Amino acid sequence: MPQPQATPSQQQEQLPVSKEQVIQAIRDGGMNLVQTAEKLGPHLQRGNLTTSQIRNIYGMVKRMEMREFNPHEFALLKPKLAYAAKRARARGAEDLKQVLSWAIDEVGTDSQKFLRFVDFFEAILAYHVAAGGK
Amino acid sequence: MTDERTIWLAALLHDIGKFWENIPPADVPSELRAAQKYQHEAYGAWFVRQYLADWTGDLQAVEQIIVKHHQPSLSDEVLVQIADWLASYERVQAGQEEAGGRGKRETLLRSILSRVQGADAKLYHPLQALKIDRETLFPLPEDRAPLPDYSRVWNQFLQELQKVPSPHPRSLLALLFKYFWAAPSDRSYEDIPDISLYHHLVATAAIAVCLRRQQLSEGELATLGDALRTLWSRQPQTPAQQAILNRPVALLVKGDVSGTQDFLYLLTSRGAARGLRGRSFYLQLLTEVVSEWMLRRLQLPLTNRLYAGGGHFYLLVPYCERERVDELRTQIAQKLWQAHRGDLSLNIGAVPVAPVDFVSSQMGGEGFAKKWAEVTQSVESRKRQRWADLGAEQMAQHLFTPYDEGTTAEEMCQVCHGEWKAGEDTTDEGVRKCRRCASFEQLGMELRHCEYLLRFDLPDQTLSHPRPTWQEVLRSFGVEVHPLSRRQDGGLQLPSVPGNAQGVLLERVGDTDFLNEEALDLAGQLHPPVSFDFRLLGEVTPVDAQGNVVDYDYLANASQGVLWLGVLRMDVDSLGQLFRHGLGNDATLSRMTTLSGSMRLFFEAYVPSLCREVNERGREKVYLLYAGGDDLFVVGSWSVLPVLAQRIRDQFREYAGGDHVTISAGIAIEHEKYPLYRLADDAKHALDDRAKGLGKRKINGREVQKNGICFLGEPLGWEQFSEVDYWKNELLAMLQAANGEKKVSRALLTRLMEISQLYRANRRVQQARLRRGEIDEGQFRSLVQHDRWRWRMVYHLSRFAQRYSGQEQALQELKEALSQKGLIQNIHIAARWAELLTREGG
Repeated sequence: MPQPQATPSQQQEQLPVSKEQVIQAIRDGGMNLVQTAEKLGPHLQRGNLTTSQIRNIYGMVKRMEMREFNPHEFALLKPKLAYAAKRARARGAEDLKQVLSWAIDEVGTDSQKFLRFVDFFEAILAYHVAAGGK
Repeated sequence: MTDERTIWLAALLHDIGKFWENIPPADVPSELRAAQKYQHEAYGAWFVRQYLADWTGDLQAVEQIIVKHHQPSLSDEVLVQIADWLASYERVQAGQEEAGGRGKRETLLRSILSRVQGADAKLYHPLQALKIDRETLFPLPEDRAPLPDYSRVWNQFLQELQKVPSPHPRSLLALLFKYFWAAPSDRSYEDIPDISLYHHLVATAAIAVCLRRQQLSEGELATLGDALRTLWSRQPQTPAQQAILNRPVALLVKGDVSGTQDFLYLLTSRGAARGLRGRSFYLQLLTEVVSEWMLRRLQLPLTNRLYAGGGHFYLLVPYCERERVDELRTQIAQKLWQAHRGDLSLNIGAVPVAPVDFVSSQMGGEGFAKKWAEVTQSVESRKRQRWADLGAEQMAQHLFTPYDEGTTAEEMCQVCHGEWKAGEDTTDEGVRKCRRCASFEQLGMELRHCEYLLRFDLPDQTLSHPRPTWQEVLRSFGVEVHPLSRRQDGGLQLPSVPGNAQGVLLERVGDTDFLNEEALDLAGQLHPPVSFDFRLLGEVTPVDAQGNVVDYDYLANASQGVLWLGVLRMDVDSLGQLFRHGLGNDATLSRMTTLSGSMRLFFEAYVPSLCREVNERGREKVYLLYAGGDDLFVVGSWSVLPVLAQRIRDQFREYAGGDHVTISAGIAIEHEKYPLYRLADDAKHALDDRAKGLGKRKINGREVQKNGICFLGEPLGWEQFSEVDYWKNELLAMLQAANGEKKVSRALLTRLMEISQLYRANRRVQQARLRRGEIDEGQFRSLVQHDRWRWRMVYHLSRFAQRYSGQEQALQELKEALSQKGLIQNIHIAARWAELLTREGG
């Protein structure tokens, strides 16, 4: 059955993905990861997220990827995200914080899941830019 | 008993009267009519009496055999009947699905390639004299082929026959080929007309000569005749019948030149391009000359050579000559050893052929394809003991004895790195060339505008020089060859006739109009009497504005984008399979020679014209070094090679009438300083190991294998290659912005290659997991599609679209093709291709 299209204002109100979907993306990677990121990208763009708002955090994640996975360092991402989202004063940044927090919880101490987290983050940003995000 | 030559002529012409049936001659003498069973026998005999009376010393015997070959009484007549049977037992009865002939007036020759297993379309050759153009060579669907005009072709044949100044079998064979190559040998409603009259006549003549020399007694011939009748009607056979059916009457001999690869390409680049053409043509000549030398030694007519081309030949030799064949093998090995010191060898294999082998398996026989495969095996096993033919003593003498005198760098040919001696060898523009290399260059030059080839038959001459020229090698096999070139005044420069010449052959090159006024006039100036023929010349030589053969740097400089050189090699896929199984139960001698002949016409006659299309005047780009048999070799500007390969493939597909017979290509490209032998090797690897390694897949519901091209190191099915070609053009359009928009930066190509790299790396990882059983097929497919490459691609292409808004639509289409249509698998090839086409300089 075709679903009625949500209006942009409704989308701004509601995240297009559920916590379970995010957890699934981190667990399985692959299609779940791509499809979840694909939905999030345009949503965040409409929520006025800009890459400069999260550049530092993304940079940290990429640097962590280069080194051996450190769960303690990784757990510190959550407060940093919260801080960045508050500073950004954009709904998009808040939504991203929410999604990534679910993802961070799911990673825990699992290094494989961490790698999927990096991909997930990168994919969200890619689809965000593709949707016209700056 | 009648002599062999008479029997040969009668066998060769036994069915020629069939052509006259449509326009029956009114004046056939009653004594001929009285003897016939069908009409064509009397017409055939009447034709010989009217037109070939002075071609035979025993006109009456020829007439009698022709007129009685369907109800023989004398043993010669029986012999020709049996030869005809062995050649024509092959005819295949039309079934419900296969169309038979349409009677005497309307039947066209069914293209043999459209008879091969798996063919969809039925194609027919329009009835006409052979000419080297597309209209003549390409078969057509039945509804587009014009109704045959038998009288026109017959009258043309008679007219040309009467121009022949002196009788010679070679001239007659050339005429039979020219006029009856596309004439069906059988036009009854029950049979599929897929064998040309020419091939039927030649096969009958070859078999007749073997039977005659085996000296079968009258009783044996009768038993053989009865045996074939019982085989045909599937009745039990007597032991005597079985014995004679399985007793060898012939040898199928195959000769194969090996070492050609090194001989052609293992040269330094100094003058290599010029010498290459000469070397390639020499190899072709050598194959022909050696096979004819064997026939002369065995006193056999040319019809007993079933095929010569592509570095190998097949002969049908009477079985009683098997020891002579062994002797000849040794003599050939010795001559070639003297000529080439082991660089080139000719391996000759032979297998016995019994009457039952000629008969198609559908008719209860063994089928000739089996013999074809056996003789190839025999050659392969001989290759493993190359030079064993020299004999033990000679081997000990030659193989383990140093033969070059000590050489310094100053005494070395700079082309082949063999010996060079001041006084004997030459220096050309400061480059030392041994007399052999110089002679190949000279031959290459002479072939540029060669319209005729003149050949004298001589007694064999002994090779005395350690570095013999190509002429000297051929003279050791009893022929002297001269390409004829035009003088300033337009006339042809004739060489002086050697005093000991025993025969002269004048061959028209690249044109079937071989009995024209000029040729006849030339022949008038020569003695002994001249025979005539024509040859296809599978070559195209690029020349500069001054008419000189160009070197590799010239070709490289004519490229678009990066100034590189390339080699293209192509050949027909699974040819052995095609011969062994393609004709199913119907594989027989003349069907197989028709099949190889058909391939040959495409490669030797048609491929050169496709190459010429690429060569623009003053900016020639390709050098067709060789096209023949079922393969080709082109050196040229790298950028035109993929286009040429695609064009040749498309045309071959049309020629064959579908995807049941396919062709593959390998292309290697490099800067012009890269040695040609490496490039030739790389292209061979690209073709043999990569393109031919393409696995089974389905195209339009048909399972195919191979059938592709390897370019830029990547094998692709043709179906994918055209997609890559399309996207290469799209990328070029973005980069060059022909639509007036802002040009997209070349960084796009780099990004695409990076994305492709990611895709392929992930694919390899997932493949390993699949192999280890960690994931199933479905997971594999999904994981390959949903990975990092995907969002990176989306990211980069979106950024490009933002930066180059005029190209947004094209980039969007690219994005869709990559993510949804599987283009990601091959985008790196398109990107690399576009990158090379837009890069400047070497």
